[in-house]
Amino acid sequence: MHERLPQRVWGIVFGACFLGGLGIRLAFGETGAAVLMQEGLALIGFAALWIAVQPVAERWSASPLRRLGALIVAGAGLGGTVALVTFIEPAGEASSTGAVLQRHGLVLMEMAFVFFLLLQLRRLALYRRTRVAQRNWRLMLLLMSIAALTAFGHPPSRDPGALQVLPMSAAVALMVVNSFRLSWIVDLSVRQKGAGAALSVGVLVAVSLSMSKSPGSALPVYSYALHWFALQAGIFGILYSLTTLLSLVFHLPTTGDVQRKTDETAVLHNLTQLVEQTFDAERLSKSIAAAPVEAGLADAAWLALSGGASERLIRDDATEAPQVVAAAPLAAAEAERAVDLETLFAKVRRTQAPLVLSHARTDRRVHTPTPDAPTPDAPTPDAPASLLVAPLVARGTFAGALFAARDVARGFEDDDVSSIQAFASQAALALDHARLFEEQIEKERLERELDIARSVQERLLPRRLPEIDGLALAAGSTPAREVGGDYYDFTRLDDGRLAFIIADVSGKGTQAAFYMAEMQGLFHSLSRLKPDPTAFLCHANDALRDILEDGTFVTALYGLIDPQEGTLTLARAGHCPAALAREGDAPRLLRPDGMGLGLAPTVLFKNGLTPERLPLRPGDALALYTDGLVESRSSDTSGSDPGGEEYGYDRLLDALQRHRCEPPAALQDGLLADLRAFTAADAYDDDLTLVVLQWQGADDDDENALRSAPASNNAVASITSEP
Amino acid sequence: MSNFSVHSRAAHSAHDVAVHVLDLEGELDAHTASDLEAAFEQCRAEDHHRIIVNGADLDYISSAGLGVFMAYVEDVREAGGDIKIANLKPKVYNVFDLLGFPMLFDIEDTEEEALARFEENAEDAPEPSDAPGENRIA
Repeated sequence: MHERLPQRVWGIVFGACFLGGLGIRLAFGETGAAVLMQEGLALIGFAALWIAVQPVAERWSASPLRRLGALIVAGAGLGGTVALVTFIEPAGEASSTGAVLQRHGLVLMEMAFVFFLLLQLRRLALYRRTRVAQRNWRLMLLLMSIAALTAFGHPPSRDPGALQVLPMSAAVALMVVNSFRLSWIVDLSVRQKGAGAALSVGVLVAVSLSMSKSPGSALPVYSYALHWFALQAGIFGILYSLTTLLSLVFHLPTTGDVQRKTDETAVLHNLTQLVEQTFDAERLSKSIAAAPVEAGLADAAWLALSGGASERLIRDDATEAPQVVAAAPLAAAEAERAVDLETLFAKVRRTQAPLVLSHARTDRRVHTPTPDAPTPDAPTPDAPASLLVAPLVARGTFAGALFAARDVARGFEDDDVSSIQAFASQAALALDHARLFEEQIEKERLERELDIARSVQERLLPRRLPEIDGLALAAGSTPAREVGGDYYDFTRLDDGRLAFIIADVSGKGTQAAFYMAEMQGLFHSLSRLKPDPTAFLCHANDALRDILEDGTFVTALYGLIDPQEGTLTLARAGHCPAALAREGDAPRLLRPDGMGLGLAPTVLFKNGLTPERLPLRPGDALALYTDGLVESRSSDTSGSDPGGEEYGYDRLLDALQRHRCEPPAALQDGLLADLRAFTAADAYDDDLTLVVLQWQGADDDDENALRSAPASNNAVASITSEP
Repeated sequence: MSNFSVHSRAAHSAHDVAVHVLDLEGELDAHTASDLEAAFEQCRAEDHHRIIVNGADLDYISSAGLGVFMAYVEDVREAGGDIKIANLKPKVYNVFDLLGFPMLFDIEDTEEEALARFEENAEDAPEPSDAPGENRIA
């Protein structure tokens, strides 16, 4: 109702009622009807005033302590005024005009204080508003009003009857309930709580004084109902300030602890958030180790992970020895010495539950910091007196443990343990995320590297094959998922000879691409200057010895074909032998001696190198390839070899024999088709390079036959050259 | 996951030359090469410089696996020791042989022969050996 009518209307109603009552009293004196009428008007008027002042009170926003302070000032002001007025002009004849006016003035002040008191307490009791709290508050006011109304028309001398006691007891019961609405206390700092306790004493005194039946109190005479209402408001005021006082006094000694606990929780919470935002493994580990110390939960803390390798945060294989990756405030090495890391680590890995050593110095698993005096009964003051080991478990996988140490025995309470364990679980997840993130980055880096390597490889391979009379060529290379360093190339020398190479660089990715580029440079510069196989390969060995990393090497087949003489000179540097099919002969491997490039000093390399020279016959088909071809495995794993049988040399020779008369592109296709039929797989595990050379002779007769079959499409990007 | 393993053990020749033997088992490729590296590292850390690699149960070796031998042999020889290879299966021997390893390493048929080579003279430079299957392909 009152929301719809403007405040002003209620104010006017109050004014009218109050002045009307005053008028009636002045006009008719102490007659019964006049007193009743005046009291009725007074009740209506003050009800209207209550409604009118509520929005005003709502608008005043002040801290709870200021409200208490305001109550003291108001109470003292009222008490002082009442005392002053009654001292100067003691109430004489109740019906004299002066006394009536004085009484009305005092009533106004007393009721103002009552309303002020209730409105301030309302704000305090409803500090954190809930539906129940609001309902209790309204019910209390209602019961107070009912109890007050039962006193309507009674002279002050009469004792309250049972009718009045009943609603009043109910009202007092609700007052007690409402007096425990003290949520505003929680937000106070330690100092504020002290001040609050003092202020609540002040309020208690002020309200008690205002309630004391001072002779000057005008209310009972004015309206017994209002007097009862004011009385109840006073009782509530006393109750509320009492509970406030007691609550503050009892809370004060523990306030520091509560504050500390709250701080710890906040710090851990902040760190958890920080940890979740960090993907850098090293920073993450440091933050995790520092967290319990920063939160004040431990004097020292360190993080141990399986295997410890920070580049691989959580290993699949968590059986490796633990290693401290971060520690605070001590160094990681100190932390490793501080306790028997492996035993404790193994213990929490098994139980996956936090382990608490309340008297760590008497525990065998805790070392004394000096390795010279490892006896547990002679601990130094630096050894942790209590130790908490919290396992880091993410997605069911044990990743490591967070160690927290205190300088005092029994340093970890149950809630400390659960705080640190909760944090450790978060940390485990964060570590797991960081690992996934790193893996993703690594994967992308590898992908990029492979892309580079692939494009380098593509560019380094010849786009066109030389055209040599009497010689047909086909060549192709297909990089595997992991790019290796297969390389092949041809150069037509000035004297008409053809130099060719096929090489396999060990290593993968950009490193392989780099070595491959080196090989290409060597081939193009050296083959013209030193076309002789021994000279070429020895120079290449020299050059590669300088640049190849330990454990990497290059295998190569290098050869020269002299079309005028019709001869092939072939040198092998550790590479797979060449396969030769020839009319009227069984197919065979050409395997001249020679070790891989970059393996040995050139003196030794040269010593082992024996190039082979053989005359070519028309129809000779020569296949050069990399180990990816002969080592390709069958996807049928039912045989004796669990990994699947290898394609091998014999199958290659057979296939070469069968397809040797086909044009080079078809021959190449035929060999690859045979391989695919064997492996029964679409993708190759390794790089696969195949170069086919067919000697048709300077004046060959069967040229047309060789040209007849068109090149077919196959998995190996290939180029062909036919005379 | 990995089907490769290295077991290391001590051995003594007839004249009591202490030798360390690494028994390889399974497939040695780019993924498992680090296991062999670790074994060589451990030998180095423990000052075992006379090493025999026994390949009786080695089924496959890739170029990355061969690279491991190359990466460690120089250091071992500088320390006065050697890596000798014994008991290779013919197929595995062929891979060593293709790359020219017999020029660089003593590759023996049996562990006993390899032990005997250590007795001859630890400081001898390795000589090319007559090992099985050298001409299996050519």
